[in-house]
Amino acid sequence: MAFGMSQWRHRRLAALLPAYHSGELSGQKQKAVEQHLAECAACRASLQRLAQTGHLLSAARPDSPALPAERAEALFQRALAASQIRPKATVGRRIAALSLSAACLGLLLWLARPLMPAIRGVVKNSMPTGETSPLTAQSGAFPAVKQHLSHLPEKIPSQKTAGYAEASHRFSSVSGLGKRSPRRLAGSERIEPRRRMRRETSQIHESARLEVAAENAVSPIPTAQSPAAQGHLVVIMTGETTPSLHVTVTIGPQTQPGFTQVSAFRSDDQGNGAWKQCTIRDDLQAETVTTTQYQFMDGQPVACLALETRDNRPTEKGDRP
Amino acid sequence: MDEIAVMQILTGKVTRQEEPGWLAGARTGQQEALEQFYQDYHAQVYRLCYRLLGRSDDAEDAMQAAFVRAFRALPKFRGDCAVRTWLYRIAVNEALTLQRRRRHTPTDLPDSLPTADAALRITERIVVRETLAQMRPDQRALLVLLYWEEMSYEEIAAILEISLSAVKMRLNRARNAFQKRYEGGEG
Repeated sequence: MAFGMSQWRHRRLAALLPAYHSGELSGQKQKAVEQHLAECAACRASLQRLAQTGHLLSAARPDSPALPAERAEALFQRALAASQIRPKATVGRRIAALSLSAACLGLLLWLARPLMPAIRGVVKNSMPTGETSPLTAQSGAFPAVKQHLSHLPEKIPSQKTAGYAEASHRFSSVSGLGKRSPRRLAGSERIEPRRRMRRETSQIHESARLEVAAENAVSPIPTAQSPAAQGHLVVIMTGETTPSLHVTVTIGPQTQPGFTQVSAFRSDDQGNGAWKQCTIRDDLQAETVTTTQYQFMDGQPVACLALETRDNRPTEKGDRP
Repeated sequence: MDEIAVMQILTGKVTRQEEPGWLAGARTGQQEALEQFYQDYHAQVYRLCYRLLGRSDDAEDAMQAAFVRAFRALPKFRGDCAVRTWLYRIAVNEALTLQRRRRHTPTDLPDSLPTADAALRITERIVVRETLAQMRPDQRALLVLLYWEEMSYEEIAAILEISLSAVKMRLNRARNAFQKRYEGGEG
């Protein structure tokens, strides 16, 4: 703040900075703010901060995935059905319906008695203790991630460790090894493959999610028309209560051999990032690229994996770099 | 002209909005009219819900809930504001309700990448989105409406049913909260 400027005037003009930044001011107010900015370093810093925030947020704007027409139609029909006002039942009918429901429930519970200990056993045994391998810190130049993840503990408490049964999503480019939750799987047969893939990969475990940017995942294969085409895949892993998740990245199934996966970026639980070389076998059918154990912490992403495929097939002029 | 008067004009509280052709039919529950209403707005509402919630399945749920409420409320819609504003208001409320109920961190799917060396930018975007996701839902909604939906202060005021000065004040707070979280402080 310039010497001699009243605190009141400074506050008044500082309050106008957002409006000045968004170009809403004109005339005298605009001039006053400009004059003040020339004198006041604190307000210049505030304005810079304001611009930076706007830039950061605007640059991070996600493009929403397109809603397929048949899905939009289905949602319309459901919304329409749900919006219909149901005819009110009479008191007598309500009592009769409630009595019938209670009787059915009682009968069902009585019939299910022999099964109950077995069900309890299955639930108890479905989460065996697994192993986790803590990620090692590596040097890297990703301060934002480091800052963001700096609160993570060095080692995640072992009592949070859960085990997983092996499973894979062959169609998807990324699969998780975990206990899949049946949540929202109903009706998945009706949705298109790419959508189904995304749904399934996000349902690996109810307490550990794997989100996949799969826009290019099924089509990173260079073609005759664009032989140098590159595909990318970004995986963000977040966990809510599960500290680790075994992740397998799979490309395929593909019919054309000769593609080599180039690199993967990973940030570990210390926030450091490193590019890691991984290779796909040349005789691709559906080959695993890499299998890594990642650490998780409540709701926080700890790993970002970017994959790239390149066409390494020999050309007439020689091998591609 | 004072702020309230400007707001009333901008939000249509003084000058009634021109009604779309299907509105009369939709008010009486005609399916064709409701379908037209849905056709006109579902993509925008889905995009808004997706940006507020960060997950496509949640966005679908919020959009469906918003249209259920809209279909039911259409007979009472007086045309005091634009249909889009009215519908966005419902959608924002439904999305915020869903977000509070589910209490999971919104995590959106990143865009496809143009080059391999874009990883740093991707990481930055991820951190920004995660920072937003950790903010209070009402503050997140303000920033999403301004920076991602590119709405004016007036539109935001009409959608959230608050005054223009309240929008400015809350946006300032939201920006500061974002900046603090982003820089590693408390939000």
